[in-house]
Amino acid sequence: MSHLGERITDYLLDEMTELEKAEADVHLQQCLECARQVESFKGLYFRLQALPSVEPPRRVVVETTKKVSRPPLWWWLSPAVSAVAASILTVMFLTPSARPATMPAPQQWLTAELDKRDSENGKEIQRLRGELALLESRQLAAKRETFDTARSLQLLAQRIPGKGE
Amino acid sequence: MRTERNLIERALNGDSEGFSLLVRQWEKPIYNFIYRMIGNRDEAMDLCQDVFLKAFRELGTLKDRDRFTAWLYRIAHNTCYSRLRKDIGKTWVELDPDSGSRSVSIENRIAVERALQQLPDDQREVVVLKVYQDLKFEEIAVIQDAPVSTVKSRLYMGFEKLRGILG
Repeated sequence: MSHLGERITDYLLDEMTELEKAEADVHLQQCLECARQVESFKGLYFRLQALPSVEPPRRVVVETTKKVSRPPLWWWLSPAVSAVAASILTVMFLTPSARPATMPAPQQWLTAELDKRDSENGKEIQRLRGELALLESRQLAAKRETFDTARSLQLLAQRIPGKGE
Repeated sequence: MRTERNLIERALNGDSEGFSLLVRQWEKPIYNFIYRMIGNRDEAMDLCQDVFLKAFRELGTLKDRDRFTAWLYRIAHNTCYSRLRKDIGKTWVELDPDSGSRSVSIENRIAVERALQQLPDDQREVVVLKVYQDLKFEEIAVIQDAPVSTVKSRLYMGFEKLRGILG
């Protein structure tokens, strides 16, 4: 068997079949170079894995008042039918209409500006909602802790002679 | 998997609680993936928020409900890459000793985080998805839109580079 090469990661992550692994094991007993590389990668893997996962600074909040949009019917159809549908739509849109195709420049600017501000405000609202959700969960945890402490104190008081009466 | 499928169906039928539960289940892994890719906590949070917003809007386009994980990570991948493209040449390495476990030495954590940031984006992504998110090679291939063999090569090259950097 030739050197393990890139298959070392397969070996390390247990992604080999039984037969491949058996062959690799035989090779590793004879090849010092590959055996050293496996050991070195193993050490690296554990060092990487020791990195702890990070808690998000706030909760993700998605405004779910609007219903999830299901895709239009053509999305589910075969490419051929979709192509025909797309062609029909293209012809429809290319046909000159009575309405002017473009808005006046000031109106366009206003619409773009309002869209931009909507997007910025939306992001800020999402961020604040996330922080609020996190604070609410912390408040709930604090309430629970207070309740538990009070309950422990109550039980303790009942055990002290003359106090529980 | 079945629960996840149910939650997707519930969300598609207008039950907002269904999607909220999906968010609760996935926000931490997705946040961690983005954080490891971007290297900045606040920015990662904003991008994480964007990922779930996009996922909510596009949930209806998910044909195979059992491939939700790869689909969600694919959205996160696109979000990260469009962000990384804006920052070509810059390197974000946040050194915040307050985050994470105290049991791991801070020096090691900083060294590993710095080393990860030095990898090319595609190699770092494979290392993060494999080592920290424990995804299958096939799933990573879908996320990166690359053959499994390429994904495996990227992992190997990433490990080689990390070994060189970390010694």
